[in-house]
Amino acid sequence: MTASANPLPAIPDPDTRRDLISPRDEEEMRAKLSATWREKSGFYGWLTSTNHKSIAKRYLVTAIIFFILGGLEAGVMRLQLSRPENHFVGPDLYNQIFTMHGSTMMFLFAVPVMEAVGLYLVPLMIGTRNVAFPRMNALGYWMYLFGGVLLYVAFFMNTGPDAGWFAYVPLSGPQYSPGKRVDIWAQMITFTEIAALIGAVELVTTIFKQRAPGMSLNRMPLFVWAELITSFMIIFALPAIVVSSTMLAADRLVDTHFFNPAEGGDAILWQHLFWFFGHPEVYIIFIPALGMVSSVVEAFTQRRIFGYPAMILSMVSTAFLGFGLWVHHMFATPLPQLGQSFFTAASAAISIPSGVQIFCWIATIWGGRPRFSTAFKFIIGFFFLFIIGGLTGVMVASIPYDLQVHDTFFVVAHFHYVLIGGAVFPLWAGFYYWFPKLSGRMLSERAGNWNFWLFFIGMNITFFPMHILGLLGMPRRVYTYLPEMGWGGLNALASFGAVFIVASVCVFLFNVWNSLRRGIPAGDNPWNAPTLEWATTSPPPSYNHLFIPVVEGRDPIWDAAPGELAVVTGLRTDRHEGLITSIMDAIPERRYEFKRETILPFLLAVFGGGTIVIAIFSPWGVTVGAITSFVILAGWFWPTISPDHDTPVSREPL
Amino acid sequence: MVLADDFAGPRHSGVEGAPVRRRPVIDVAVLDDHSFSHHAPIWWGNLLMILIEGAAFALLVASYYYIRRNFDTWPPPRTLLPELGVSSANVVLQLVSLAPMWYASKLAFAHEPPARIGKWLMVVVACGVGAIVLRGFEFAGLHTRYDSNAYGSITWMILSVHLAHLVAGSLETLLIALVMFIGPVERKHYTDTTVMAVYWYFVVGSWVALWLVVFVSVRFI
Repeated sequence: MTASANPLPAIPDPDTRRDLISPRDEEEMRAKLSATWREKSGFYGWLTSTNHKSIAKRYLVTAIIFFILGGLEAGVMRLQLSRPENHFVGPDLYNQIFTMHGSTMMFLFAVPVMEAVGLYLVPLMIGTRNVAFPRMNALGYWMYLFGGVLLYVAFFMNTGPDAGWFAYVPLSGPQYSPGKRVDIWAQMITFTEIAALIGAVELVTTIFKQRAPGMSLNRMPLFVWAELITSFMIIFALPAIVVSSTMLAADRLVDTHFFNPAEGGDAILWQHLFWFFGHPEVYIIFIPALGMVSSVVEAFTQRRIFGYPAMILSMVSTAFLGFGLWVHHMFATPLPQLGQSFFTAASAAISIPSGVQIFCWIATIWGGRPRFSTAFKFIIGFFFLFIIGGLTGVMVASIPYDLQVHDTFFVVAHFHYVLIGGAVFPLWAGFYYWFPKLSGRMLSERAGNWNFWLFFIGMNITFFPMHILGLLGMPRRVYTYLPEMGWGGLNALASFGAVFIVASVCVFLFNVWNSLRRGIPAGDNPWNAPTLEWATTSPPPSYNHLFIPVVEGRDPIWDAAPGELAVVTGLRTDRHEGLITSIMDAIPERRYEFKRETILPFLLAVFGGGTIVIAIFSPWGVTVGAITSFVILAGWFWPTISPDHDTPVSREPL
Repeated sequence: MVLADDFAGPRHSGVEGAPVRRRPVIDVAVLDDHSFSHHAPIWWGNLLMILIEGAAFALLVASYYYIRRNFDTWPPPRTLLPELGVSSANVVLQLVSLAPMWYASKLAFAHEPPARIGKWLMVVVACGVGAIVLRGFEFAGLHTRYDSNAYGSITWMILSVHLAHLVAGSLETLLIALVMFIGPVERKHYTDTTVMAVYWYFVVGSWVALWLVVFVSVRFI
């Protein structure tokens, strides 16, 4: 007790340092940790795992599968629109497909994949052994998976949602969307919002309390900053969709009148609530991508990032401004003009922090020695596409312009440039950069080159013509159009571009498969990168780092003495133990035991998830689920006697 | 030149070349593995949860006033004002429940015997059950139904969402109390008690705010 009153300094004086750890002691340590942290094998072991890397890998694989499904839906849409008066799919199926495409890409791919990368990398980057609440983390994954499965099972039973990914009322209300399609959408949202919120709480707590000694806030890698800022955005933005989707479900299931104008409800309220979530959502996807860009740029220019404080301030201000933009999705509604002008100003203002960051990256590349590997090419592609998307963003931020192109293909072109350019390209860069760490094998640079160029060319052929189509007046979300509209040629061109995108994704999948089979072994740090995830083996062992590292600079590996790593000793090896450090300066405060693997998160997801599904049909689902969930949570919380646990307190009789 | 030096690349080729050796510089074996307050990850998890739920409450309040704009009179015509009596009683009861919760938390901080903490937690549970019962009367005292009009919908939703918090808070408190009585109690359960207290303060505090909105402000706007 006395020891904990005086926390240990993050970095002690050099003369207090002891001798290097002998290889024999390291071997012994490795054996002990491997035994303690070994993951259970078999199917049951798979169901019960709570290791952040195993769970994050599942998130990644699942998200990529949903990316492919969403991409196939996009392919069907492009086929349908490739010529006028096409009858490949009918209007009803087309409505379902564009709703599925948007919902899949936003809720089942983009947000989860960005959190997944964070959940995999953040503990490695900050030098800890697991996330703060390992069981909750497992629960988050199962909720996400079940939400996605629910959506697709419904879709294949011809009950896919069909009111667009933002499900505007009154179209999505009980009057115009009878049946269960929109309810499926609302409950898929419930599943994914739970998963996203759990991920956010995990990341904030882990980043705040588990950084390696010496990693003060002003030394944290920019990717970790990005995940931290994003997590806070999730915490404040997601409640809006929790509230609005609950209201929508209630309007549909128990005849409330939140969005029914006849009884004093308000359709615009839905738009406010949805976009108060929906616009920050874009930055929830985009800010982690900014972190990835910084990581890749630093490694591939072999130079410290230029303007580190400016970068952080830019991300923070982007996050703040991101909450003040939602009305620019609603310029076509009768809102007061002064209010709309405010949102125009805020929308234009957000280009300033984005610009600051782009100039910082350019300065870094300028003064560095860029290596044009695949990862770096994707970064260059990101600059190009994101700037185009950003410029059209400034255009649609202007109300008169927005009113002209509202609900046209111009908007479709704009947000695909922003989201593919601003998020998918950095994600791909990050994938090529971190895949060696994740798998222990290098991806092929030759295939990567094809991957990049096919996607880059295909993306521009597909989406650039949509700007022009929008200006020609082609509305989005129409299943077909007449030949005399004159949209046939550009649509055919856009559909032709999609072929390149499909080819690129195939090359990518082949590259991954081939590398896993016979890729060149990566070694610990193939790119000579500066952050801590590269200070352990590839792939990392289940306990991440053999010893918790001590950080002595902003780029821990580059700042360490040659061939040497300062480390922490004294953590217990006979249980899952980590180190708690202070928020600002990462001064060691406490030791901390992580929860072990268990089946309970899976069970909670099954029963809690079952509830959410039952609630589509009957409000009693909520009651049933609340009771079963409480029983499982009681089991989750109930103490078990094991030698692993901390000192029991003597009990006094009642 | 200083600037260039500042942003120079790595001083060496990283850990790849020579096998990396590890130099121990901090020994953490002396640190305790039990912590309270902001040292404990669970305290942070709870705080972030409160932020999430607080944001949801704030949006419900915003929706309440947004819907207000669609009505000429508030509450809508032919709807009585919501009953102030029973809802005020609930505010008082919940405020009273803060005392045993605070005391249980204080005992936990001091590592007092678990059964003593458990007893005070049971007092909180009793208050929680009382608040849940009163909530039933509050619904009746709204003089509207969730399917009557948008006013009914939003007031019922606010009360229901807070009811869910009362139920969850009471059940969790009951669970911790049971652990305290049955055991085996570990030091971390003391932390759980103090964190539970923070959550309960939030549940009560948010009701004071929501009561002001639904039962008091309705008389003035």
